[in-house]
Amino acid sequence: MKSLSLNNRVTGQGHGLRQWLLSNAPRSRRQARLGRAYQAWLTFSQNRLAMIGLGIIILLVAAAALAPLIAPYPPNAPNLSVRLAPMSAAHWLGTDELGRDILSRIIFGSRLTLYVIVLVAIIAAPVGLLIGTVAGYAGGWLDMVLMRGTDIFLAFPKLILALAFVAALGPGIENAIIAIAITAWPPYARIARAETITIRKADFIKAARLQGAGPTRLVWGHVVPLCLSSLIVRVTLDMAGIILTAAGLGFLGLGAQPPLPEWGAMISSGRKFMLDQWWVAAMPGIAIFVVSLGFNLLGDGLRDVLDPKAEGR
Amino acid sequence: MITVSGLDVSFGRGSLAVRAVQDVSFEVEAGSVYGIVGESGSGKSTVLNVLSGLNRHWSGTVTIDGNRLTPQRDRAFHKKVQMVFQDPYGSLHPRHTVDRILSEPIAIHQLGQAETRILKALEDVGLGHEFRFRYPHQLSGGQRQRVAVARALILEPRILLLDEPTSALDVSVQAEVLNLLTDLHQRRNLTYILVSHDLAVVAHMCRRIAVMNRGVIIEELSVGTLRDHNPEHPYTRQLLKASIGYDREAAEALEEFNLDE
Amino acid sequence: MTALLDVKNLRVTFETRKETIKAVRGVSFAMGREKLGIVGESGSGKSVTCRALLGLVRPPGTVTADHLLFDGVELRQSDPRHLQAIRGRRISMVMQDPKYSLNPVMTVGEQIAEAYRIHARASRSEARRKTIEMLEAVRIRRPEQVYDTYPHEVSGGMGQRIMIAMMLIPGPDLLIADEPTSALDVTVQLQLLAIMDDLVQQRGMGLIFISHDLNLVASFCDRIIIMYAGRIMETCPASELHRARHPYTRGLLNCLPQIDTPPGALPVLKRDPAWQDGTP
Repeated sequence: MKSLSLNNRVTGQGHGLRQWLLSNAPRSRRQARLGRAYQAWLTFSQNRLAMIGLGIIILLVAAAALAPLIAPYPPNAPNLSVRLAPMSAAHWLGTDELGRDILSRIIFGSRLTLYVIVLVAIIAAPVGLLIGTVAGYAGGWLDMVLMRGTDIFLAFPKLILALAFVAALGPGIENAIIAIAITAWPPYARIARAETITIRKADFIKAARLQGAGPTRLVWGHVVPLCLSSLIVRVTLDMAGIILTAAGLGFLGLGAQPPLPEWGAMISSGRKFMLDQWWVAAMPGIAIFVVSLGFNLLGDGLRDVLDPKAEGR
Repeated sequence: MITVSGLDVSFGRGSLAVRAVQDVSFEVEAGSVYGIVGESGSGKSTVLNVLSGLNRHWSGTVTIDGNRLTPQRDRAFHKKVQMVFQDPYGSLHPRHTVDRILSEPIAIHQLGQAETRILKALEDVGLGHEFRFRYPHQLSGGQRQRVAVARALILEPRILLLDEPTSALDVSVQAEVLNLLTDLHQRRNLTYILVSHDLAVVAHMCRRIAVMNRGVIIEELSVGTLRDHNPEHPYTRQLLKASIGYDREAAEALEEFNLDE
Repeated sequence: MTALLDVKNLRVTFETRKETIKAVRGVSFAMGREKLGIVGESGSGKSVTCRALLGLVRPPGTVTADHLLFDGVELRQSDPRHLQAIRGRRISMVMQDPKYSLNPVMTVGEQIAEAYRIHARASRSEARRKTIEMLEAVRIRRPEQVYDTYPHEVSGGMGQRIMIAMMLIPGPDLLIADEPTSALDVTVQLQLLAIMDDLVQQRGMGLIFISHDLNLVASFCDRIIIMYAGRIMETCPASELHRARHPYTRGLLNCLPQIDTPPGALPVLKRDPAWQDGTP
């Protein structure tokens, strides 16, 4: 399609702001950037599933931000007289073994979930990006050393490695975050390296080198912007796995410690009551499921938008 | 102005080594347009890569303005020698606006007055100011190539290396870009080395032409000789005949210089 | 005698969210068993026209026409089996880069033999024999050896010859060649064209040769169609190209650098907006 001349096209009409954003002749850096972002948004919003995913994530963030306002009960207020109560008008999702309202605990637990995934992403993604681009661009022995190091981390199953780190560092949510981040970065390094190796051969890199650009400028200004798309998609899709690993650690008692309303820990303590009071374990489980699904849908939608092949025809 | 002597470039090692360029020597006068023509595998692009500094594994002598070049190049060299690439879609970074593409060399060499230089560069290649903040995918092939030329010229080089600059363009766009290059050459008194597989383009632009085949310069001739259909070497004659169009007899008479199989 | 191919008022439109692209806008032509060249720049619609003939235009593209007759039979049928019988068996297509059209995990010989067995009931040995014959017909010197090579082991020119062998082995009446030599060196191009010329003539086939190279088409084909912006600007016999009348054709001819013409500015093609809408 990219070869079709600009003559045969009939572009849609627009008004005011929309037209400004969709203009093919932007008059400032800001207009160009905003225009691109807007076009990406238009493509993204066409995808219904992706919008559902986005909606779920927005709900997650809203729940975390507004927790004190929307939770009907405080998350850590035991009330032994209503312990293990089923779902009712007073307690929409029932109560747990200490009589705490499950809905409120899930809402406050969303803060912990968000805390974990944001920190892991902030730590792991830049580390992976840095290692991958340096390895891919430098090549030679530096590439080999960095990649073999990455392989060592990749050789261990994620949860086992996280367990090992937490066992060494001690239980607690901060340590769980560090442990998960340590296991999460290798795939990002791999992706970044693969992209860098492809990009390295491009003519625009050669042109920049011919202007006297040094390796730092080339990697930071030219290579990284092109790696970001696949990295963002991969990180988003990984969120589900990160949530599950954190929940797994919580389940094993190695992540967030009681009385924190971490979803995995809630499932763990609800295990004993699974047969008769299933909602104690099932509700946090459903929360994990919904949020993981949300991230997966969002990640798929982002991939369709950010795929450089589809973009810019 | 440019002298190449005994240039040798090999790829690979040991028994798998391929001699892409063998003992190539030529001279380019200041202010002239020198053409290197050849088919795929002839080594013409490799020669250009050596001259530009992209390829550092070569032996021989290369002198520009009396200075011998080392495989490593410095900033002064980049201010003097620039290159335009073949693929207009590949030579511009897809996420950079035209403005960013043109301001990079200015930033690297700390030239200052970026705004003025960028606008002037766009004017020099016949692009209006409205192109300044476009992304490459919002430009046609010809416009992208103009941006590539603008980028090459913004450092005010004396020498321009052109690697098949119009091969990927439509015929009508090619004419515009060739005219632009001719115009710039005259206005700024630049020196060009033009590499192409298209004999007609080379004949149109260049005064002296080197014909390469399998890493060797087979013949060096003036454009007049070419136009009179008078080349000496049978390979050049064959190339000339094949470039004119389809000729059944010529097809039968093709000799084994580098035929398939 | 019915024309081999008769196209009337072909229109191909691509409707996406952002825009509507009218790739082909009312193209009509007929051809017999001759070499017809279709010349145009990128975006002229020349490739899309031929893909429409073979039913290779996928949604969001839509194809309409008054008629698309191949040997008297309408090509636009809802029955996919009908098209499958024609595609490959009676109309074949060779594309630009054999790197992308040859299956990289099968040997060259196997692919050609498979192409044969799809359209003719033949045993393996019969198919192999036919394949070797075909490889000889495209002037490959050691066909038995080449039979067992993989696509990545052969050069561009040989890859195209293999493609031609594969496309001609079922014995089609019409060959569509979409820029078959654009990725090849000039001398290799000459060889390939000679092979195509001979084969087409020997088998009494029709050939549609799509290219952006006006000179090449003028020297190789019998008749030329010049397309621009989805329309046909002019049709003329190849020998009369220098006497072409349409300003677009003249403009295209003039802006080509020739070996014989002296240097100086090349005349630039001025695109008349009337060509978008006007009829030739």
